[in-house]
Amino acid sequence: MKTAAFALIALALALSSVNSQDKPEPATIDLSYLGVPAEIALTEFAKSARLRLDLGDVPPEMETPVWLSVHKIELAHAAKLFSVATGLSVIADGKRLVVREYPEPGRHQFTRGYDVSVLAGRFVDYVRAYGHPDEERAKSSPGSKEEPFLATGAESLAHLVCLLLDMLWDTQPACSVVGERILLTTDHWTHIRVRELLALLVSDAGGDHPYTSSGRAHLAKLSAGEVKYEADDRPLGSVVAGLCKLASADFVVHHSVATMFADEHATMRGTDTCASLLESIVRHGGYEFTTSTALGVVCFRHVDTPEYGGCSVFETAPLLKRIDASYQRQKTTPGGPENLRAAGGVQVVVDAIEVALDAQEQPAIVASFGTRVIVIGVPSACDGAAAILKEMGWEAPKE
Amino acid sequence: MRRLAYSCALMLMLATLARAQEQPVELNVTCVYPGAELGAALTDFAGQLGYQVDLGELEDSDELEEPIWVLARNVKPDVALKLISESGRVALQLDAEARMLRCRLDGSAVGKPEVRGFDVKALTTAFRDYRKRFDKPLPAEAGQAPSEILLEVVQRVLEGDASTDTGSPVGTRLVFTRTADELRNIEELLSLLAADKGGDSVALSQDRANRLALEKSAPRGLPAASSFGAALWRLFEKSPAPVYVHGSLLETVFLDDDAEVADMEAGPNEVLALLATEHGFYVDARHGAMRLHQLHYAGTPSYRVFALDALLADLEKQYKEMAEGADNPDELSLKARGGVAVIVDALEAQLESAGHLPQVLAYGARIVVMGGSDIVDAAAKILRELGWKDPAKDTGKEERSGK
Repeated sequence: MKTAAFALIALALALSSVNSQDKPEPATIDLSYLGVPAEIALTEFAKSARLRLDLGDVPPEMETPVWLSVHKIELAHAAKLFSVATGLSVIADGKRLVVREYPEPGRHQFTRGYDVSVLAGRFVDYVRAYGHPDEERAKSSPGSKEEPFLATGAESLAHLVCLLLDMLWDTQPACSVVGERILLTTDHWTHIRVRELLALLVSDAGGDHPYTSSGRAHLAKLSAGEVKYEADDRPLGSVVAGLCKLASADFVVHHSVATMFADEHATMRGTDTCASLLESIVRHGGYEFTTSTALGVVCFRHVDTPEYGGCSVFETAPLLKRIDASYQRQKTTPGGPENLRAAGGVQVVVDAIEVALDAQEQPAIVASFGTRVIVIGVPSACDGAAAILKEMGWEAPKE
Repeated sequence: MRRLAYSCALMLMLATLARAQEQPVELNVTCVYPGAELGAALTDFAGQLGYQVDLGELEDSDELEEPIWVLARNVKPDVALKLISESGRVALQLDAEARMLRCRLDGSAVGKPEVRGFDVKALTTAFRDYRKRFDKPLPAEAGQAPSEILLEVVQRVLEGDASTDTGSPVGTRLVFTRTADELRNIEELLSLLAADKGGDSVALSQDRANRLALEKSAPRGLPAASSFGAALWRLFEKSPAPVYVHGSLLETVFLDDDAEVADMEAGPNEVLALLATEHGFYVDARHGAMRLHQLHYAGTPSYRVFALDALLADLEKQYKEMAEGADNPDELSLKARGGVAVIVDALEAQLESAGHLPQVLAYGARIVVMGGSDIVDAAAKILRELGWKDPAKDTGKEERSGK
């Protein structure tokens, strides 16, 4: 009996060992570089990640200071944060940490075809109910004599995915649409992001991209509670990093302000939330940097660089039905829109969100795909869009 | 009786000797000229055969001091002759009677052309059916007969920019005046275009075999601070397949140029790809040898024909589904989108993005992807991502429509 029990335990152990081999946990890493020259930071990162540093034709003397403190993140993610911090293309390809001035075409890239038939089918449903967006757009500009180019559902979706990749991660992969498949040639990290975006677009409830949720959580830590902080004539980066450390918020400093964070010195004394103390530093010092998010962590960047830290997807089908009914009820003016289709479909909602976000000075891009409304922006812009939608009668999906 | 037997034996011996003189023993040569001067290489090659060199108009010419890059061990003299000729960009001819290696400037010697007509009725019929169902021809193509379009495809695949006008479409026949080698290439292309499953050309299969042999014979890695010439030697030193660098590449890249890429973990074919990217050359197979060249637009016998009938039928269905509900559904059809051009455009865009310089031509539901196995295999992967099923891995269960 004892032998049988032992055998069973041994079998269970063996099976769990096999399972863990089948699905290895992705390697994670903690990184903290506070004003370290890029050359040294990259060398140390490669060493601690057990990757061979491949600098290619990048001059080895990279003096841009790296300001970065993150915890338990995957190597590929850490490499992308280095891209934000240094302005270089940094890729962890399994064995090597490949650093280039610009992404190398071909290397580390592969082509994947995404079957988007489900989403293309939903687009067809939307077109049946509210008309084709391209046709409606052409009707709204009657001066144009050219026949509108009608995009298929897959083509509209491909356009949206490319917009998201460009705005969120400054990535412009080659994109082709053939039937209900979207072909993209890009690196492994970006393919994972594409899968996340498509999953978000196909999910019934919509929601936040994981980096939006994570960025929002780290930003919230900065406003979580009061801290007492004192710093006398210390580098700006050191002061900012100190506040992020007190709040336990992961952060990266965008390369657009990295040198300023090393050269400028700040003095700070006070008791307040970290977010308020940061605001105070900017106000008193007249510094041109802003606090936003990038790749799921807090990001400090120059005010002139675009900031679209993430995106949220809102399912608006029930809202569109209600708006359609309200248009039909209001059929009083001859020549006016008889229903939502005549008024422009989902574009009515998109325009309203854009106007309201603009008035709130929240930089964001608002797009649509069928009944989905997509807001590209920092978490506060996405939250602002949700609030505006609620004012229109939209109800957040139940958990 | 004895005298008669003696006479017979003598006659037999003389006849055997005469036959031996008619069919000389095939002698193989070894040509190791990695950066050697053309003049020295010609002298060595002729010496191995016991021939003299007739330099003709090349006598006292600077061409003889230009480098060539040929590495061919134990190969037939006519193969070595072609490799030296193309690396040095000179015309060479072996005159067995005079035991002379004759040299002329490239282009001055042309093989004897022959005339041959090919019946392409099956191909033109398939093209007509494709066009009816899938394609809306461009205005420039609308007035062209299917055989005229086929002639253009054949010329562009095999001859590229250098195409001559010595081909004529007559009804459903194509008539060419070409050398025997060129006619063989045309016949191969036409038969692959007509084959249900398409397939690799002989030169492409040879390229695959050469790369496989390279993978087994060469060391891994490319050390830092190598010159291009040193990197080539390290890569091909032990290659069992002959290798040569075409004159088109030697004219633009010097062997003592730096090879700046360094990767000690890359396999031999990866190293070759790295060098090709850095120095802007292409690799394929010619005369059984691995050829490094810059003749991208000069046509090539190395290609694969992909049969896309089933994929097109599937795409037609997909576009139809996506057009439902639109006011003008025909505008969203595969036909309105350009038929096979949808696939060709996607293939070219994705291959370019992956660092290739693609050349893809279509004839009806067939596309020809030109180049070495690196680009052809990359194209096959992309097509698979589109839902194309590789007949080479066909289980026999897949449906084929359109034929």
